[in-house]
Amino acid sequence: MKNELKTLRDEHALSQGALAERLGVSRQTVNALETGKYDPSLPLAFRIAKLFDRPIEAIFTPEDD
Amino acid sequence: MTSELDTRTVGPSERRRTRSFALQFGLGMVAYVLVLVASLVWGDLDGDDPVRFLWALAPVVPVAAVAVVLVRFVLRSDEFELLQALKGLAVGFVVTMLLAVIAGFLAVAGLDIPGLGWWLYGGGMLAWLVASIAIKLR
Repeated sequence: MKNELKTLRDEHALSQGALAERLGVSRQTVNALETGKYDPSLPLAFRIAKLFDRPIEAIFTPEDD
Repeated sequence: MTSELDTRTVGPSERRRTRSFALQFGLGMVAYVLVLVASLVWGDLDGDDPVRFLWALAPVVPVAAVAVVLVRFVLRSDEFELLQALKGLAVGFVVTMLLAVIAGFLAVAGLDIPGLGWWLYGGGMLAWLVASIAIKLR
């Protein structure tokens, strides 16, 4: 799955650590999400969407789209 | 150029959690070494006194405390860390079971392996460590 997490994080001037803090996860997890090594659970995806005030599908898209 | 936003600095909650774990783990290991030394020095482990069994088992108490600290740390991990920990533990478990089965069959064939428990423990721990590092680096 592709995602716009890094772009959104940069737009909001957040470091990986600061974003991790707001999402209640580790910095390593944010890094894994940004690099596409890990796809988040639905609850975490909702937390990300809520934080950036975007619908989930605007942040996460299937690889083949 | 690396942006200031791409630093590896962790947030305060994560830092607190990691420090707390490191402190508790460190204290547990110090207690383990102290109890182990006391057991070896005063336990009279080669003697006949039945109390020596209590001395021999004494280091298990701080080890159990360290195990509790480890389990609590893993259970408080987030979903990605939990998945990584689970993969590492799975490899450690499978290798330990495999070693136990190998040792069991060799014992059936009459081979006596001195200190078998320690070999199983060491093999399992090593497999867990190597797997955890490999999973983290992937």
